[in-house]
Amino acid sequence: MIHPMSRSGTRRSALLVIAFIGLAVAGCGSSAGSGSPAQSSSSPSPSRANTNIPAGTANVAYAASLAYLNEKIVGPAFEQADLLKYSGRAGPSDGLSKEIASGEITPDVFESVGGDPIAALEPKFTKWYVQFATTSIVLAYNPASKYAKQFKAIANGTEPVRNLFSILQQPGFKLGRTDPNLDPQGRAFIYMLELAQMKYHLPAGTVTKILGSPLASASASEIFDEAALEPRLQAGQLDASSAYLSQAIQLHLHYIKLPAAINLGDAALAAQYGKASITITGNVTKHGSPLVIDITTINNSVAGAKFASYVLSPAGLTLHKQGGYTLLRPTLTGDASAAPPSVRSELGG
Amino acid sequence: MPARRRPRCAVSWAASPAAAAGGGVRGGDDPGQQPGAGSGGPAGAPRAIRSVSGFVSVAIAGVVWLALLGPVIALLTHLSVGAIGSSLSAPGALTPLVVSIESGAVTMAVLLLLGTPLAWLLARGALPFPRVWEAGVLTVLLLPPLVIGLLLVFMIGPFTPIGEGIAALHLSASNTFLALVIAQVYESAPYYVLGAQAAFSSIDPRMEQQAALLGDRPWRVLRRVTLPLAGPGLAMALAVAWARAMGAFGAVIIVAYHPYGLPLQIWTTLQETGLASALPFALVLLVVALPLPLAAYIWSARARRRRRG
Repeated sequence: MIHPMSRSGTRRSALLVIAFIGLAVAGCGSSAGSGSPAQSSSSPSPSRANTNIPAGTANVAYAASLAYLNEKIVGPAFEQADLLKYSGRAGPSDGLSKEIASGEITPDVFESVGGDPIAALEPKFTKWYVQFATTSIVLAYNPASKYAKQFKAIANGTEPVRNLFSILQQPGFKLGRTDPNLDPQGRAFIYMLELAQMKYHLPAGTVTKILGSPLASASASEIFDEAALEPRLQAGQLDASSAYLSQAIQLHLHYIKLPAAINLGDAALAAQYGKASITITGNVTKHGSPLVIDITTINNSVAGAKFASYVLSPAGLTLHKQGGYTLLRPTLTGDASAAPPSVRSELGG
Repeated sequence: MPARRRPRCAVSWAASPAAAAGGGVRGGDDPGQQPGAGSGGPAGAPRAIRSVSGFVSVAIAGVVWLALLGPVIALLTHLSVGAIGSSLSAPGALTPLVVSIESGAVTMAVLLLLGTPLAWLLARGALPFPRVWEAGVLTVLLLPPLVIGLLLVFMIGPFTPIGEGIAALHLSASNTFLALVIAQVYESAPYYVLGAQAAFSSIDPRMEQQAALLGDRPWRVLRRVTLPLAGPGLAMALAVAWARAMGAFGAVIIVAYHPYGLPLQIWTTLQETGLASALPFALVLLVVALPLPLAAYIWSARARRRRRG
């Protein structure tokens, strides 16, 4: 039996504690409410954004297709060259853009595939971006697939690329791709099929036959998270999957290189790529465009400027070339005066 | 004759009236248990000490509790009614809720059917090399869920023998409801098996032996002695497994990108439209997943109190 006085004493103590805790929570809540979301949206790292003192680490949010290059090559090389630490975070370009916009993440640098995810952050987080490289879409394949012989023949050029699209329609063919609503690669693969249908005069409905309908459906059985797609192919559990050329090279995948007219890898063919389109979640229609790699800093981060200027330096660009990217003459889009001087100087400005 | 195995959990007090009277761990602090308490000095002094120590213990518990609840508090303070309304009223927005409940229910059924016998055998030491069996269960617990997902691809992917067997049944363990359940089972099973094993271990085997000596067949012993005594512990194990299954993400995103359950819905909404639209689904997950563990906890606590008399 519990002593009645003891119980009431405990209750009093509990009430007192709850009152204290309530006050503490109210205090925390008010400080969070007054500063946290709004402040983090407008200035996620004010100390970095508003002063010229470089922080010790460059936090880089980047398109997941850059993962290997950034984590294994560019990041370590940057640390050696600039004596700053590197910390990377991979994700779908559109998703990262949303996370930055909502204040969920506060990187110093953002690298995306295509300029749209960066443009969505203007002018609050940045006012410029630089395109400096392109990649292209390829079809990576499983060397143990029953179609491997044909894939190899197409890759070698002994069989026409046109035949590839017949194979993709075979019943039971295990294709892998990413979600077009979240990931530029998912959209690029669909644009590629649409462009192929035009270029090779494939029967109308070929794309739908391969992908099902609607094209942007996230519930198609061949759609996987980007993190799961290449491992699934490497585990031999797909016949083929979409991939960027750079990924295929870095991960030593077997792949079929596609013609420039359909692979979205040639910046000069932007008008042609724009003929392909897809309507994604929110009834937003997206058009095909070259798969350019763009970089910007977020909130004028000084550490970010160091990383961006390293990437755009001859040493950084060489690393990207070795990683399977085609280099472009770095070109700034947006307000050049808002770009850090070190970035402008790499552009020759 | 002294007991050969001392019962380990509160369920076992039934065979030990002295333990029941002692009130378990609370006995030391309870003045009702201490001879002469309240009579050894001025009545005010011990009360003051009790009050201060009570305050400190509640304060410490409160701080720890709040720290644990920190993410939930953050969730509640960052939600707005408008965002909840617009997120949850979108067409098909509640489909992931249905998927989560259905897959969670099937997962629990699988755990009850397959995990309970395994837990009982482990608890009774009826398996050879018991530590090896236990290590196997712990291994699954130790692996990061993402790794479990990747390994499941090797195990049940469409071009594996198991995957081909599943395909022969016109099913697939890749991006299907079945794949979702399999991923949830792997993420939650160790929690259930280990919890259920502890529940069975807490029963004094002599009670089952006595029932058998009185002529009860094994099934009747199980139904009338084992399960009722292990019930509260099993309920708690199931509640923990349910919570784990409802929040399963790492393995799920690899093997079952869809159909979306709530965790995947939160993830994809975050990616598609941002944090404000994603957070309401986290609230839905909490509201839906919490009642079962809470009910199990309350029932379990009441059952134990009832048995204490």
